[in-house]
Amino acid sequence: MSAPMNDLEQRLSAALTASADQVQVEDLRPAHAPLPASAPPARRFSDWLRGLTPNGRRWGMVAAMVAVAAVIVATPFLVGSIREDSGPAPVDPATPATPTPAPDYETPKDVGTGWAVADRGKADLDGDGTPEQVILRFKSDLSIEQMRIESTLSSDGREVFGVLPSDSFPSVMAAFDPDADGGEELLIYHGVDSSDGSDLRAVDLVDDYLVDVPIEIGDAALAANSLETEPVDGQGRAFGVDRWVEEGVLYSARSVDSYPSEGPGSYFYLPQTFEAQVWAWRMENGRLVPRGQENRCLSFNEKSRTGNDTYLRAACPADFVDAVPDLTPAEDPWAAEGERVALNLDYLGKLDDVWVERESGGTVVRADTESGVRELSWAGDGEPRLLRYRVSGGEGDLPLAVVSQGPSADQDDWHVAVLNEDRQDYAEVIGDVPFGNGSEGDLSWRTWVVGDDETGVSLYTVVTEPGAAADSENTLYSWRLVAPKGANSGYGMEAVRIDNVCGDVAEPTSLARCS
Amino acid sequence: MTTDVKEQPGLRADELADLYAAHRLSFVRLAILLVDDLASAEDVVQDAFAGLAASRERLRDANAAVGYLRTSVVNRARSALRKRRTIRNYTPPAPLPEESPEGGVVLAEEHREVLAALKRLAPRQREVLVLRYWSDYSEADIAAALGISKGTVKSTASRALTVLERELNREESR
Repeated sequence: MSAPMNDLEQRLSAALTASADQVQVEDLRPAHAPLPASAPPARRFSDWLRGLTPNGRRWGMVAAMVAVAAVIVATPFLVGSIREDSGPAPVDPATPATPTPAPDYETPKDVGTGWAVADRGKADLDGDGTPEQVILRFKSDLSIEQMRIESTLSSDGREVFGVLPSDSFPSVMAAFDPDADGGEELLIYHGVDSSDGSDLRAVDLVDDYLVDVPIEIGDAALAANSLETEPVDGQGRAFGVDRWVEEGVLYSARSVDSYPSEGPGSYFYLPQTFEAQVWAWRMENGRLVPRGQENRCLSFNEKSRTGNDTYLRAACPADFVDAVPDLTPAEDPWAAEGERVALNLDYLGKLDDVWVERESGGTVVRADTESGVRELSWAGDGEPRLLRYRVSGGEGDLPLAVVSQGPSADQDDWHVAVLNEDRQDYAEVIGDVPFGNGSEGDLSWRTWVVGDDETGVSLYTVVTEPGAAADSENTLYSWRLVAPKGANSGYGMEAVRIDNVCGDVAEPTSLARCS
Repeated sequence: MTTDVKEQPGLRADELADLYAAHRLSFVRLAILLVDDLASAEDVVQDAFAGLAASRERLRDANAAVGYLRTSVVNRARSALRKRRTIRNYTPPAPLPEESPEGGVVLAEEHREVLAALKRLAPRQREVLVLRYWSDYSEADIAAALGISKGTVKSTASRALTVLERELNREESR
């Protein structure tokens, strides 16, 4: 800033400086530059974060979002009730009656005593009731390929250590006791890919060494992501997965149903309560294996927001089905022709007047903004109407208005008009899902608005195909805005399939996933 | 094991580490002015560096890395706010601490008033003001970071100051 500042600018500058200066180096979490992709693979940020804070904040945020989903999706639509049980898990880890053999190991070379400390944790390695401090070290030169784990046993003062392969900065996830012998083992993050469980190592004390316990994942889930990213049937759907340690047991889960993996706030598609396969992990024959698989209804445990992510687990009622999002139609969401609606098109302080009106040969939507009048027209008959709210969701958090036009509310096409400062155009509907209301042959579709300015506005369409199986004749979609992919492409509206729904399509609140 | 890294084009591993050491704090400070809390600010900056690490070979000029990071931090901060806004659409937000980071020095009342008013601005307005009056970036740098024209930077800043002043006057008249 070379120009002299007025009083307001000086106040602003001083306030910003004071606020920014509150952050000092010592306030920052210990961290390291992410590794370049061509070096040993870069630790993904979520892994980095978890490493610093077991069951870290990032996942806590995701989990909180899942929890928040309870408010929007769950309660009114649950069929049957879930007995939430915060006590011991219904899945019984089945304590082995006889000690399990220890893992095989080779005596490690004693290296790395001077390596940098990556993390510290606590675990009762020797089972004497007093947790030992465990220190993880890594080579501090961006070429991490090994970690050193070391501790001094409280029972006899022995110094124990292990040197294990590591793909990235190691950190402690949790202590647990998969062999139920009273001495705890350690779960350590060491890798970059949390989507399949390969980022974890289990470490056991054997003799004077901390040794690697091979993990046999098989067909079980051991991922930390909220949604397993592998698409299901090429439809952009994914299973909800998670893992957590509770009362000394490592659990993992994969949802029975799949959910849209993309779309506005895709985590929101994961219901607050959902049926999942749950595994309890045990150590058998020197290996960590998934056992005790059962289907349970999982509900995110609010208490885990404090940093201990867990799920309430309960048997699912016989008639249990996952909830759908809140589908309650908005009250009076439309402005008639000529009625001006105040929308914040440019995300600036001033609201802009937007309205639709008929002109010869078609309809035009206009916006009176500080930078001038913008307008967009299209040909067509019928009475135009304008959505009173901005629509949220999708890649482009940009100004848009939805207009509807047709001979009647039951037969009309909807258009999303992007009234950006730089671009005024329609978002093209991507794919075959009709957007609006109408019918063609046996096919009919109905689109409605959910929410308001306070809650956020979403658009839903249910497509009905009479004659299909009763549990699949109605398909529910939500819409998301897709940003232009390049200078020559425009915005798009994409339907995200939620599920087949049963109920009266004329009464969206009656719709539920078909059981 | 990573000696081959240094032979590759773009940003070298040691340059990345140097950048991290030199700029992490300043970018966290920038981010906290945009997202309000330290944890989110650190998330934003670490994500930005992770993005840089992933795409470092495509950087034609290592000097462009700071510009890349600046843009990335602003965009990711905006994204973080958007997600938070989405969450807040459904649950009443927990009250933010009066000052951040937690346990930091308590801000003077006059600063708190300005920062509170700043929070009420539209995201783009807030970004422009932070970049202009804290980062001291040129209009060209701000335009590049936000992906808008220099003219839009000027007009946005002007309108933002107008709104900010109005908000401050409103508060002070209460």
